[in-house]
Amino acid sequence: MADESEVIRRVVAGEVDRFRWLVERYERPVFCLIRNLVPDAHTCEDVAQDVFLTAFHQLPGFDPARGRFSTWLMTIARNKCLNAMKKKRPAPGGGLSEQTTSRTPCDEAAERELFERLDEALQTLPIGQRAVFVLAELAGLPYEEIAEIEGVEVGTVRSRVSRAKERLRSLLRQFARDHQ
Amino acid sequence: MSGADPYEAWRKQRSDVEVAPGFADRVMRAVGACERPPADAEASPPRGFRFASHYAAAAALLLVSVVAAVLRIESVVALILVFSSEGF
Repeated sequence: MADESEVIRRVVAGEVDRFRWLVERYERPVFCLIRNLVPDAHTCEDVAQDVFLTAFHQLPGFDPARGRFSTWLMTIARNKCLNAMKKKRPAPGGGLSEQTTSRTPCDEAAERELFERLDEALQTLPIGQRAVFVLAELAGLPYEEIAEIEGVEVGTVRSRVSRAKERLRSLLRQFARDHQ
Repeated sequence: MSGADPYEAWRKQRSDVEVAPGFADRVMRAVGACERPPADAEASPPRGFRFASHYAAAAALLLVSVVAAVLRIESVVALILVFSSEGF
């Protein structure tokens, strides 16, 4: 089955098991958004589950004529993240996994330190800039969809992403100078 | 450190988020445990209607109280009239 609107219609009609199709289709981008906005690993899954349960309960109110399901779902996810961030402020980078490769311990240590600095820098961005950056650069959503989620113009999305990237890149330049 | 652009390496790693194993199963169990499926939730009266029905019930109760009070006053007046007409 590939028709998303048909799946939604059937779930609303009472075929609850079909909701799994929607969960499996969108769990990865939802996790990506939550994991990078709410880095605490324990909170992450709770928030993700809350996102899908809320979507399930509010599904009858979803109107396909007003927008895409993915936009609607990511808006729920974004709002849940903001609520979770208000409740809890975890240590930057605390729950994000590190993937090591077959490089020297020195290389790995330097990369780990750099990634931690980038994680910290990401967490210090203003929330509007951070959410847009994560949606665009990490979750890979198109600017038009992000503009709908955030309720701003596409130009605003573009400038927020650009400012966030510049801030992270300047941190990288500083890091490179410090380690020369 | 690897020769690739470090920003791109970090971005790629942070994009590649692993979903917790069995996540969809847990969501579906939670969905199954819910009291009402979406269709039932949709069938329930809208919030505004529920408030309106509360107001209607309160208004009906008030009306009954007023009628009861009026009837009670009328019966007392009738009693007085009966007594006065009997010459007490």
